[in-house]
Amino acid sequence: MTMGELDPVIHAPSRLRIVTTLNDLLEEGDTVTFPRLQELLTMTAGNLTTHLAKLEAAGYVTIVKAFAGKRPVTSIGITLEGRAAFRDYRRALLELLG
Amino acid sequence: MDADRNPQPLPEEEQPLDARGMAELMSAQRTTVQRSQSRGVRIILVGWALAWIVGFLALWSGEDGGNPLFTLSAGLEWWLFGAAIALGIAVSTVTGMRMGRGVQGSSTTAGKLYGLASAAAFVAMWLFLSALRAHVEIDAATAALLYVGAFVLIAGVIYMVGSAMTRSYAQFYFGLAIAVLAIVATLVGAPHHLLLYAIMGGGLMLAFAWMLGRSIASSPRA
Repeated sequence: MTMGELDPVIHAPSRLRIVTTLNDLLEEGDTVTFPRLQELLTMTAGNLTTHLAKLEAAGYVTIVKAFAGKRPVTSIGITLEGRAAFRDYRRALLELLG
Repeated sequence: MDADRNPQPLPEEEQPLDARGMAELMSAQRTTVQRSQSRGVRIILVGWALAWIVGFLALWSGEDGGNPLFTLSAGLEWWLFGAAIALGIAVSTVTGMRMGRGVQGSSTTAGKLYGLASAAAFVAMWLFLSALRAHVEIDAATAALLYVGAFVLIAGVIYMVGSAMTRSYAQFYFGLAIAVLAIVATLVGAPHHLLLYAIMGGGLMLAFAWMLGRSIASSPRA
């Protein structure tokens, strides 16, 4: 295993932090609102949106936009594939560190 | 999907760090998440610790043969105890609601059911003891030991059962210690069982809150 073989979707600082947060924060079937996730990551809304879109395209996260009354609410979840990818990435990283 | 696996060149701040740097980034973020989750638990524990210390010391200070330094005037000890317990309930309720903010799904449902089960257990025990008194005469000395001991035992069981949700052996042993305290304090007898609940019960809660903070600070890297 080399650094180049690590999953490129997760192997970026911001996306690693996002996936780590979702994996640790959420139980299976849970979602977290965009503002709460942003608070835990201290990222700008634009930056977070960009990285979430890449993770969603890879099938690692789900993004659901709905309304709570008249207020739009964006909920983010982590898929089983996303959890598996994170576990694989973490295991590979620890192997690299010996 | 393929485009994402061969992404465009990343800005400098998004360039991957070396393996150790990425592992440290992951570890730091895990600590942030764990701290955000345990902060509420620690606030609730400290709130209940203060409630037990103040409340049970007040009851002990109102009993004949209790506090050797001073005796609270009749009735005042129950007002102080009631106020301390009400404060504990308020801190738990407000903090518990804030802890789950932003997260929805199965864990939220589990948390709500745990909170409801805890409240129902205390109310059910109170009703059970009241029903018992409808048939059996319980003198004041027995009631002093029975009521407090029963509620402390319920508190211990609630923490033990909650450990199944948090998957925490530390929480299980903490709940077990509270349950054992109820037995030991009842063996000691009135009125000094109240001093035990204040010092040992409050102390156990403060110690568990401190341990939770320490375990996150010293958790293994990555």
